[in-house]
Amino acid sequence: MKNLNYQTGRVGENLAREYLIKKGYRILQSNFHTRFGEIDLIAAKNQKLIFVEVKTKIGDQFGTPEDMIDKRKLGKIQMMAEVFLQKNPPVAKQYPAYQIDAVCLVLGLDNEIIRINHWEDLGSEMV
Amino acid sequence: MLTKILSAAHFGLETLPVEVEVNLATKGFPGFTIIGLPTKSVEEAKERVKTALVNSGIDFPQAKIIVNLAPADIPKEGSCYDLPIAVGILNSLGQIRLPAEKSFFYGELSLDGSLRHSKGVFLLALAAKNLKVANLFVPLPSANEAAVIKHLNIYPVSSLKQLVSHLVGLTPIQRLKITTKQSASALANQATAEFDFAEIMGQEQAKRALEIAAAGSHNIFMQGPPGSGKTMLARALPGILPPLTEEESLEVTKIYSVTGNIPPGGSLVTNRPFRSSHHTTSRAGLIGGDSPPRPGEISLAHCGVLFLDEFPEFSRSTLEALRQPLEDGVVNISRAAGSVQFPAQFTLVAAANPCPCGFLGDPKNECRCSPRQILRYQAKLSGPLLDRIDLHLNVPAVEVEKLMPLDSARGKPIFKPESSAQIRARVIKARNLQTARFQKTGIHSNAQMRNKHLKKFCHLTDEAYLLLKQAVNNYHLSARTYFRLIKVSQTIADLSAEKTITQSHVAEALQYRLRFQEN
Repeated sequence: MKNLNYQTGRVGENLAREYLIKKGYRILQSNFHTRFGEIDLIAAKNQKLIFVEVKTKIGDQFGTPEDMIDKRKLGKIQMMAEVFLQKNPPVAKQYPAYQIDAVCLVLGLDNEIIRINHWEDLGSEMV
Repeated sequence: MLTKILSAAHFGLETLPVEVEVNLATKGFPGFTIIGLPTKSVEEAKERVKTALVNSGIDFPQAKIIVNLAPADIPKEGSCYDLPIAVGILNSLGQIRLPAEKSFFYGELSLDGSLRHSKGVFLLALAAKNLKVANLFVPLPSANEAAVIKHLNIYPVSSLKQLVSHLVGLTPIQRLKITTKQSASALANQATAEFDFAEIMGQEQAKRALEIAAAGSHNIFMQGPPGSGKTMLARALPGILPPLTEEESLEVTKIYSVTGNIPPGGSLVTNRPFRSSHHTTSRAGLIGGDSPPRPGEISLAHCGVLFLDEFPEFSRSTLEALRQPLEDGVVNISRAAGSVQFPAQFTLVAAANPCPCGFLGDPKNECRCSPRQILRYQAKLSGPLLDRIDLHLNVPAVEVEKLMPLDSARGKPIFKPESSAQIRARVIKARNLQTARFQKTGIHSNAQMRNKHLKKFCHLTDEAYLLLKQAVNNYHLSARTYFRLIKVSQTIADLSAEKTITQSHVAEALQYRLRFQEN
């Protein structure tokens, strides 16, 4: 089961990456992780650095992917973003500001996309 | 889309209107936030509302929902905001049409979408009347509480589904009929007690004292060895208490509604409350407290009886805290969250042993306590506290001859004690005299009289006055005791349906005061 969820996540992350590229984003890195956590995608567009959390669900029966993103999760992503910027000073220098986005996917049984939503700038949800 | 729904919050016995503002934004990350100082129970409304809507066959919207409970600076607690939040969401979705007149929505949701019995519906109805709110949508199990108040449209709601179909105009909910005074007072005549006075053998003096206590709502203190029947006597007391007057009934119902003590489907409280507290009861539990302040046992016993068995075993601070409410009939509770006043006009019935072993003064059993032990035991009850108790009496052990009903086979006469119903009839007569006497004074019984009332209503004969004066001088009684003696005398006069207080009434009142001091 756990392995299945992991696979679903990978599928979703690949789909999200394609989706963002199509929308004109430049993907800097995928699956940046340290022992504290992981950022699924790091992208850039219009001189802005964007950290993207990808959430994938198969079917809507067990809650929406949006339900799975709460303040705690966003806090974790922000912390990871700071870690990333510390480890990559050139990137930090290049982009003065960053934002946190989420891409939420609902897939069908054959991994086809039923719904894909891109939520921008979730920083304000953290308060 | 923004929707404003009217609901209410209770602080003590006050009710404030609360506007539940529900904003449903289709832009922005979906979420559900409640602001306006919600406590945990309000915060959890999110999960209840969400699940109840889904289980009622309504798709929960993928939207950013913000609920604001205005005024935003007053802390809100309780589960009664479930319904207004759900209705707000439904209206923002455009799935219902709100009634044109001002309407209160109030109640707790169950996960299956049905409405649960909620506290404080009676207070809500009172507030609706004052604020001129026409419609009341309340849970079906609690709706009877509201039905006492006239000129309101009360819609008993059993489930969210039913409410939706009412609000879109498909199947209207039948308005509730007003509960009449008759149906409420019909219930009042069923005074129930664990014991009937006819079951209690002997103890004639104690029964007489309890009759006086019930008639004039005087405080009473019973002292006697273990097993003499103090507790049994107290438990029989509800059977002779007079029914609540209409005014009293409303006051008691307020307190019972806000504390959730009215059973589902219940309406006005018509029986006099009888509360009995264990001696481990905390001060906040007895007097009231917590934050925000809640009524304690003394307020739940408002207009009724508070029975404290094993009186000296209560902690000293708890007992002394009773002093002010005993005198004033109200209790003021101030906490950081605010200050509230609860009514607490109760009749205190206290029972105690005279010493730790219980046999002090008993003719047959020897007391095994040292004088020091006895002093320490009796010192637990302070003078000022005992001074506030009108009737003091000894409940001695009953002689064995009186215990079993005497059988005629042995040629002895059958002695049958009076039943509770007989005593109650006298008590009701005496209480009716008081109700007539105290019209428009705001008090209900002799014990509640202030000094100005005494001057106006109590007429002593010259001999009665002389006896009273001699007693005060001889026994060095306090001014308070003096006035309390007159009040008890008045009740005794009422029981014998006499207009003036005579010497014999004062003499009887005196014996309940002095007996205790002989020990």
